[in-house]
Amino acid sequence: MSVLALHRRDRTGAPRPPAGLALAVLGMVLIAAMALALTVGAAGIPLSRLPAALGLSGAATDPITTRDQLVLWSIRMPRILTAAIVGSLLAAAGALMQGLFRNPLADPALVGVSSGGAFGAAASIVFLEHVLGPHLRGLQEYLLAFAAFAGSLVTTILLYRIASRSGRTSIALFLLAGLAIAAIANAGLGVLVFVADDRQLRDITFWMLGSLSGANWPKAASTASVLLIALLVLQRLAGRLDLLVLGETEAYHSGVDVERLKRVTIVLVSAMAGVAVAVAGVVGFVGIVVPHLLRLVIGPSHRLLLPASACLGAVMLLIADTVARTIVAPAEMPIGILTAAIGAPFFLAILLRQRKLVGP
Amino acid sequence: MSGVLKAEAASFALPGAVLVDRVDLSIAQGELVAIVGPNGAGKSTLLRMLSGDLRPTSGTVSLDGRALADYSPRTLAARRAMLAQHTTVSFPFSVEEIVAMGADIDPRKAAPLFDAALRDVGLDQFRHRNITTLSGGEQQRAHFARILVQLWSGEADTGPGLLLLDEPTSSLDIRHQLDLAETARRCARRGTTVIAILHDLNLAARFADRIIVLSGGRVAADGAPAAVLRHELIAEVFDVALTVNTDRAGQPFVLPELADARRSAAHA
Repeated sequence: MSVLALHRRDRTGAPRPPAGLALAVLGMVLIAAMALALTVGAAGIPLSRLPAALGLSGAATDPITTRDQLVLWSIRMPRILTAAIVGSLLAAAGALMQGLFRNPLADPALVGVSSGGAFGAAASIVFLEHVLGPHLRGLQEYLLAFAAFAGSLVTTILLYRIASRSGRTSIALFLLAGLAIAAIANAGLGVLVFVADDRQLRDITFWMLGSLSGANWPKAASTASVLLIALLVLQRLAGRLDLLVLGETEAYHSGVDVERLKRVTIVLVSAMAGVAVAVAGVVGFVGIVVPHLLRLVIGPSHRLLLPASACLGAVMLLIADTVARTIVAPAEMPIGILTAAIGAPFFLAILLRQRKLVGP
Repeated sequence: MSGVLKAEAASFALPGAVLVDRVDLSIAQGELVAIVGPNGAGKSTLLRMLSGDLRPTSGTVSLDGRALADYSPRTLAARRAMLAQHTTVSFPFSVEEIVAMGADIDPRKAAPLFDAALRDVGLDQFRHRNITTLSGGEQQRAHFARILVQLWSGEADTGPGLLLLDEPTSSLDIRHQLDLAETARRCARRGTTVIAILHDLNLAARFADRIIVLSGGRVAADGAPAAVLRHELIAEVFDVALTVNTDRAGQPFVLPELADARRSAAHA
């Protein structure tokens, strides 16, 4: 079904597909994408060997299966899971941010929230080593995630303060302020790059381009827990987020404690974007492309949009990461470059369609 | 008579400007009130204070003897619904989804409520339409349906409520203006208190039991349409030339005059 046909449906007014069906389809697509991603890589594992490699047909007996199992369980599986989880976080954070700013053009990477997170992460790389000393090195990964969250939180709050006035958000002001905030965060990153030593520099570059090559089981587990908590909270907020789309005054008139909702939403967006940045660096446009596509099919209601965005975001980033790690094998393309190459033209297309929202 | 909604010396001031100046009002349950006045008279500010959205900078506004500031947004929303002047939605919600936002209840249980509201605003053929593709007037009617659902589902729990309308007819054609006025009157007959800001003095005269004229942030007149729509008062408050007449039923109506039309009439 073409996107044009979906747009046409706006006018004819056909009812939307049922929520359960939409989520079931997305879930199945996600499982299929994961299975496919497991088979692709430097060491190919054809679908026929997948059940044995996953250990579904008993203990390994031959050397091929043993090798397959090693590749799958210690390298590919954590990476695939991390890619899926980061994709979920980014897409759901994007959908949430669009609800908060009542604006379909919001994306954590586009308006500097991810840059803020990356600045926090990079600052922790450059400075924490000296503060922590060698025996506390183990803490660094957690502190880095926290620093990324803090960086995202500061930028989100700043952005909100600038772009929202008496309950209305100016979209042009929002995008321009995001641009300026991203520039400030990037200038900060530049300073950090300047003072960093060679090894730190390599780590920072990784954040600026975005990559999932550092994925491992602990990272997959901790990001999964953030995602789970966020989705549970979001499900409770969904109805109120719908009302917020009408405007802050309207939401208040409908019984929403707007200030509280905004605080919770800002913290959640920052936590989700910050954790995604801590694990994968700056990966843009997933947060804008995924919710936009979904709204065309399932509508903008947050009750369905948020979990569906999490599903489709996982699929998208999984596919992007699979391409990123195979297209220039044995080297790897930074995934941030790939999502930007696909996402930016898409963003321009949305911008053209939504012209009247932004300006004359 | 004890008022359901009471403003006592309620003022709203910004640095350097007093928008609403010590307004005293007492509005009883089931009353149908129109607020009229020139641009910048403080009508919207007053209505927003009556809705609880703006806190008076001095004085109080209370509902059932309890200050609005002491209500939680949720409790207050079950007692009063308010239609804002403009509500812009930048996401493709369907009309039905917009209306459903009015009720915090199981959509299946609320179905009769939705149907009635959509019928009242004449959008029952539009329920699956994307709201961003509708005309301004149609969007306004969709939001009115949402407000009705909020009002009715609150009234089912807590008894007659309060319906506030800020220029509800600003983008409606005359047929839908009258439909809206009739819907509001039906609500009032069931005990709902209705307060609407209106620009059309004739619609206000037809629609309301009581007209409050606001000028410079103060109440310039308050009473039955026939008592308020007097030539001297309206001419002075709005600074226009006009004729006030009464129709066969004894209801007042207003005919504005253009200054140069009068001048040429005088020359002839």
